[in-house]
Formats: sequence, structure tokens, C-alpha cells
Amino acid sequence: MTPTRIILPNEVMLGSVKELLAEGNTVVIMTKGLSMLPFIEGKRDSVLLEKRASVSPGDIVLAEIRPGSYVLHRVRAVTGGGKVTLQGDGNYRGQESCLVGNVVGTVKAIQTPGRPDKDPASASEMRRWRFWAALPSWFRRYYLAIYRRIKHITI
Amino acid sequence: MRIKEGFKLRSLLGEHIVTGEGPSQVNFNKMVSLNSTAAYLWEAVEGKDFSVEDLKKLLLDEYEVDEQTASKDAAAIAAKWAEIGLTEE
Repeated sequence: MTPTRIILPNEVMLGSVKELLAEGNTVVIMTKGLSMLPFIEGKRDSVLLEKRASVSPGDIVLAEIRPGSYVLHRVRAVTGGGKVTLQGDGNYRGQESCLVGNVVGTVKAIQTPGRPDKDPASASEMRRWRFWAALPSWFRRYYLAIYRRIKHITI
Repeated sequence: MRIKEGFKLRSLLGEHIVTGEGPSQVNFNKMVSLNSTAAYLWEAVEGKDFSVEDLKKLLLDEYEVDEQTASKDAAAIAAKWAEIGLTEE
């Protein structure tokens, strides 16, 4: 039997993911898109998600930013009132916001075929992210344009 | 034969989906979609030892099919489950 890749609409599949996480399961999903480059490469990397009680800056989370509309982005800030600001690592502008209660799950591991899993909360990964986030946005933009060209990454 | 530990039949996206991996980990990269007949058989034999003959009996109990068709279908589904690694002897 040959494996088949089925691409499901986000609102359909991620609705099920949300329910499974809320039931206490961990869930592995394939990622898509470019917005988390260079940390997550869509269509290549999968993420292992779990539901956590709290959300912290630096976490990569699956959040429902509007009913049925989900993003897998990095938490940039959490206010005392429970407002979460999100941004894709590969997005040099544009942020989303939601409430802590709209965070469906947190990435526990990034899985790349043929490589060991990476924990985004590990000290080394957090260092990488802080270094990346501190770079000027114009530099990130050009770096990613070159990175995508070298690696032939398309949507 | 029996269904391997760690596979679970769920109703997802309006389909009967078997998901793999650990008991509490659902891997959307490893899913098998079952039709309603296969899902009925799965539910009936989950957690038990079973044979092709048991699957045949279950088909005869539930569906209006002759013995030969039930026998052929039971053998085919048992072979498919074994081929894709859902069952073990």
C-alpha cells in the first residue's frame, strides 16, 4: 500500500486537533507554509503538540486567532490580562493576537525527517531564537529570501 | 491475529480513522481511513485474538452476503491489515 498525502483544510483538521489536545492527547501534525522559517520548514517538518496550562514568550503555539482560523506561530508577549501576541519567525512584519484560552496547543518537539527531534524550549533553541529575533527585520527578510532560494522552498 | 497495541479507531473529520503511535499520541502523519464495514469489524475484534473465520462470521451476522463473499472479503481485509502493519500474529 502506497502512503498518500492528504491535505485537509485547516479549519477541518485543526478543529479535530484542538479536541484531541483538550482531551489530554499529544498530537503530531505536518506543518505547511513559510511563516516559521528558519525554525520550521513547511511540508518537511512535523510538530508534536501538547496542551499546557500556561503560555510563555518564546513558545511556539497553535492558536485559534478567529473561530476556525489557526496559526502555528511564536509567542512574542503575554500580558497580565491574558492577551497573547504572536508572530511567525519568518514574518518580518505582521502580528496576531488572541487570548490565552485560544492557545490550542504548544509545540513540544519539531520533527525533521532524518534528524533528532528539537525541543523549542531547550536552552540552545531559545538562544537561537533570541539571536534571530534580535536581528534587524531587513536582514531577516533578505536572509530568508536567500535561504528559500538556496533550499528551493516554495509554498 | 490481533490488532497491535497503540492503534486506535476514532471518528475524525466524519471518517473512521485509525491513528498510530503511543496510546495518548495521535499522529496525523500516520492515519489509515477505514470504510464502515472495516470499522465495524475493527470495533468487534479490538483487544481480542481473532481469525479470518471470526471476521467472516461477523460479516455474515451484520450484512446480507453469501458465505463465499463473506469469506473472500474477510480474507482480503485480514491480509490488508497485516500488510500495512495494523495486526500481528
